[in-house]
Amino acid sequence: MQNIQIKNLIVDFDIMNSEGAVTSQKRALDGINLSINEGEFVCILGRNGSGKSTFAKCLNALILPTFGDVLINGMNTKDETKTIEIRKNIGMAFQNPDNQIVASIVEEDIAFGMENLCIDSETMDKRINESLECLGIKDLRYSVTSKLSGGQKQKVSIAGILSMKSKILVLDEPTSMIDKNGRKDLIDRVKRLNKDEKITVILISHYIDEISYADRVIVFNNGKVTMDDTPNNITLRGSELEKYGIMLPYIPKLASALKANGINLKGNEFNVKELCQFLK
Amino acid sequence: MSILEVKNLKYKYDKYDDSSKYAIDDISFNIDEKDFVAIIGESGSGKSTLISHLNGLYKADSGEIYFKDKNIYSKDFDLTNLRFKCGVVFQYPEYQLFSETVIDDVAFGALKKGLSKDEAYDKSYEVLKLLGIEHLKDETPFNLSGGEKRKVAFAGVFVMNPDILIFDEPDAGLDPTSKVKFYNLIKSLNEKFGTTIIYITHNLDDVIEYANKVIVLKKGKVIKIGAPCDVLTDLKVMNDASLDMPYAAQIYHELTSKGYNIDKRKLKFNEIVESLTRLK
Repeated sequence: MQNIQIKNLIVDFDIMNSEGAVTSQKRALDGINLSINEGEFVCILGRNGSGKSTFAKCLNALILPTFGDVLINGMNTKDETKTIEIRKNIGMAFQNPDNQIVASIVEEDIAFGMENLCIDSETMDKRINESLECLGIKDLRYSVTSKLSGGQKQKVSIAGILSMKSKILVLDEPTSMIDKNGRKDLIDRVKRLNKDEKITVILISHYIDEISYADRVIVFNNGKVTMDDTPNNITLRGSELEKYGIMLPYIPKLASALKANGINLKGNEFNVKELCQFLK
Repeated sequence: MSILEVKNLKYKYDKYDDSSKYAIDDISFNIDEKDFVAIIGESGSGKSTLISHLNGLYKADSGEIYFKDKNIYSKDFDLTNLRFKCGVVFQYPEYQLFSETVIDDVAFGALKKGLSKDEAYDKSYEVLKLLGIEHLKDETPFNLSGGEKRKVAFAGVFVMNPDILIFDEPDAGLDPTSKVKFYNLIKSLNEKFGTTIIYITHNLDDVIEYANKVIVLKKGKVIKIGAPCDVLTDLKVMNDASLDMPYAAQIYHELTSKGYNIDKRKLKFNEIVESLTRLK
């Protein structure tokens, strides 16, 4: 079953001068057509300003299409009577957790979304525990949110989303402030949710090594979808990626440089051991 | 010559709670002029708290900081001047933008520093050009994408020509091409003008590429200071810090374990390509 359908999506933003008068328009998304299936793990890449975050905001009706349609489980985001239902379906974590944290204590912050969904307190308590456990931050349950580090705040805001049990997770650079181990741990946990509970995941990231978790990689450029392929195929299209401001992960980039120096490699090296095999 | 000296610094957030832990726990280090220093550590290790002390925004509970041999906590020390000389760019600096146009925002600091209007705007334009965003000069910062806003915020600090530039995770949210441009820019400021760079990062392969010194934090303490090639290849240090080794260091260990002789001081990307090509 398809749960996200995007049909000829166009989004224009008004450009205003300092007096607030509209002087021109900027096209942020330019004719996007996509279908994302239930349970898919999709990674979205693209340079700054390519339209990734605008696209994410279209999915839960924070931004409405100028033209075209966004359908979530058959519900059109333009239909205001469906907005709440759509937002129950889509959990979204933004780039900056400070924009998303509303309460002063971690457990209250995680409970906020559930309170709005009128979930009873016993279930809330259970889900707070589960989501903290899932992200490995159980010890932060009673911490003051303003005193957490950037990475810890990112985990808390994701815990809040997980506790709402949305069927679709949209993560807009969720790990930008987390160390490499913590980043891997978090994406591992998201991947587990994706596999075990068939949650659809849309991950926007600049860490191209995260594409190895995805079933599908979509590249945005100037508001258009320019590449839509499997992670393996994407890494073989290095020069095309560079055109769109994306660089290969370290190991495929190194493999590509070695090939250029005449070294015979298989072309599917994703880790250090695989790469160094040619030296045997 | 030492530009910044930190001696036995201690700081905790809950000053009246004896059981609370120190966020900065007896930290001492020296930073020389023209150093390019990376501060690394897992989320919550005290990195952001530490740099908030370096331009006097936080006052330590005990310990001292010397800027060019002058104690910044002494009564006659000019803290305002320190903040012009020591520019700090925090996590998500784009939320600090407030002017109506990009160039007004960038020129703000330069005007406050006492430059004439012409000088301030000429210099601001030059900096925008350096960052490749001069075409945005008359736009309102609020219409820009996240990455573009970040570049505007950087420009606002560069324009003040500080002796030390401090960044808190400057590459979070930048696309890979912009990231490389950004690092090359601060590297050229460091090499041409001798600007001291201190930055927090989670991208350890970039530390090998650009930094000459790395400080590793764990639970508010410094566990190691040294050259990136020594520190990041040290298994014990990386384990103690709960950090993953950068790929270059992993390749170094893989090759030495296979009996190959590889120079630890040559772990930059191009040097690794050269070594591997030679070994073949």
